[in-house]
Amino acid sequence: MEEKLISSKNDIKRIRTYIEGLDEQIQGGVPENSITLICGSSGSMKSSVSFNIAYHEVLKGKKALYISLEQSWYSLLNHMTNLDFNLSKINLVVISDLSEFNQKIQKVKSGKGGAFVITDIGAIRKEIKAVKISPSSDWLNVVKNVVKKMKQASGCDILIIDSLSALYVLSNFTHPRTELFYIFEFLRDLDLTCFLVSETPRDGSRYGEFGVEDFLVDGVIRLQLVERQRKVTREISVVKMRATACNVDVFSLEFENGKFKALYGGQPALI
Amino acid sequence: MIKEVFKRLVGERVGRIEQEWTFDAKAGIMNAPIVASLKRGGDDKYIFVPTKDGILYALRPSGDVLWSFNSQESKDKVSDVEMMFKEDEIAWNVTSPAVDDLNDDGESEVVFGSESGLLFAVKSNASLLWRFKAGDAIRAQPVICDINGDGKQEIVFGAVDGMVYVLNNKGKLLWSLDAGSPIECKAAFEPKTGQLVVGTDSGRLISISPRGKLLWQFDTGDKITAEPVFVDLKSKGEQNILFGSFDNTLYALDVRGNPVWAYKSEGKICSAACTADVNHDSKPEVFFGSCDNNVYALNSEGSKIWSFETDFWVASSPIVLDIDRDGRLEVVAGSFDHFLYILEAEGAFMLDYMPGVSGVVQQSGSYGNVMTSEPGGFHGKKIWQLKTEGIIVGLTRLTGSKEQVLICTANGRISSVVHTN
Repeated sequence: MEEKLISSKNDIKRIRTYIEGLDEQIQGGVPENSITLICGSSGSMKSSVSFNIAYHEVLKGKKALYISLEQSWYSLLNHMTNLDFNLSKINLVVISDLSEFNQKIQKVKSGKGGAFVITDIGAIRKEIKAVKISPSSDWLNVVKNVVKKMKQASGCDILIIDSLSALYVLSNFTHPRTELFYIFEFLRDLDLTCFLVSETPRDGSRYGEFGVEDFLVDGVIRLQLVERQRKVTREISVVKMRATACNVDVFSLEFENGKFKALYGGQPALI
Repeated sequence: MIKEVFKRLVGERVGRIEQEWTFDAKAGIMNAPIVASLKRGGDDKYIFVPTKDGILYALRPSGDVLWSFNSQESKDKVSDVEMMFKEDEIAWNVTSPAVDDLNDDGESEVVFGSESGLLFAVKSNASLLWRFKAGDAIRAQPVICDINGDGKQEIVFGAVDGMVYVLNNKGKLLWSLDAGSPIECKAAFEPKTGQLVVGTDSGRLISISPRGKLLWQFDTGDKITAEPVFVDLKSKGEQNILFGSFDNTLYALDVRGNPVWAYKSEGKICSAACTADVNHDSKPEVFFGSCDNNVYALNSEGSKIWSFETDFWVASSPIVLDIDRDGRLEVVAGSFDHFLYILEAEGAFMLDYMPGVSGVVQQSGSYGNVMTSEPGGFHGKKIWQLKTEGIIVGLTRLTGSKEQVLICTANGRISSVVHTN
């Protein structure tokens, strides 16, 4: 990607999060071609928030690639159907066999309008298990090749990697900061907007496995489960967003009638 | 003119270093080009350039393309699934080739490996002779030699699957040995004993008999990619093995694997050392580059004679030659700082103090040590330097009517550099 300087803040194009009440707090959305970490503990709706962004962008004619490293494609889609996402409205392509990759990508290329491509790395791993793969083989390369080939063959606007934690398990990182730097640079060079799902401990003590991810990405959206008097609520905050004047307050996150909402005043008064 | 005559009178170097031609491979290069003849024992010289996109070029000494061989045309021999696991940018990278007459027909064959795990043997007219599939990527240059003394050439190479492979001249496996760690280092072969030595990513140098039996092993602290070199350091008819490691150290071993000496630099040593007797003491001096940015010259005992600091890593092997053909040798080294350096092979002696004057004046009352120590030492001395178009990943010498140095930069350019008056 050729990096360019902007002359005015209006030059920054943004991708909406499609969370009512949140986009207004971040100048309309996350900057295009940026890398955003969506982090939170289990059950905080990281995958759903990410899926929601890609789904709505695909409806507008964009192409999105969702790389699921652990959750199977049918589990993911069943979950999204249960959340009232109308999957029949989008051109959905599932890749669960690497040998069909080129053929499926051609299908995306030849189709008109948007496309939502789900690559189920878990299913691919199961299939590959029986095939002899050389010792130096690296699943990180598979992920990189999937992204690059899709971008080259049919274009790709939005990329979601779910999750970084699973990627770490698959690729034995010996020098995490250096390796993450190069992964993020690889993603930046591809000229697409990335959302990286990151699993964090419940106490929210860090935003990623190695504690450096938040320094390397452009934005951090934090999701939390907060327990108060046996009632658990979801909260969302934008911790950081480069090239964005953002409100870093904590909002309550609600999901109703197929829509995410960020609400002020979700927290009870301190006293 | 008068200046040049004066320079000659005082022994100063005259002339300059100039670029003759440049070849653009239009793809990155990770491995140094090599120069070889396409006829057995022939005087015709060609330059073989391996690229990241899987093309091996054969160039004439003028830089024109004689032929090219595209290893990606063998895509059908590697599954799509397998290639998805390769790092895209280097998925088809090819190694520097070994060039020799494999099948006794008087014509040389060109043998090289690929990141795809395929080893190619190509005829002198660029047609494919045979292919062999290793268990993983081949990143080290193969070696053609008669390892078992049967009068026929064999091919020896290591691969990332940790195996050392020995093939016959028809590309059939004779034997393989599991080194227990990926191999990215070219093997060295000692023809008198048939001994093979090769380094591994675990930092182990292993010695193998001509029949594939492990003879001994020597552990260093980190990965070995630098090709070991057999050299008679003491000029007593006994070979030593010289090799560098990512643990920053250049090691000299005897042929039984016992350490003779070690010299520790401050950076990784990625490529082979070279040797030449530059001071005519009948013992070879040792030259190598390090990722501490220096080029080093050591004597045969492993003590530093001089070092020369560049502005970035020296990851390729230096070469020793008389580029200006004035009877004195030069060391040519390429750096990641984009510059080619031509250095005095013997270094330059510089006084640290004036004996009998500085000692008395500067250290009155305690000048004993100073007065008995050497009054100075050798330092690396630059004669010429030349800016190139990228980080230098390899240098090769091409000797003809004049000495040419071929500079290979990572962005895919090969430049020929010569001395002119």
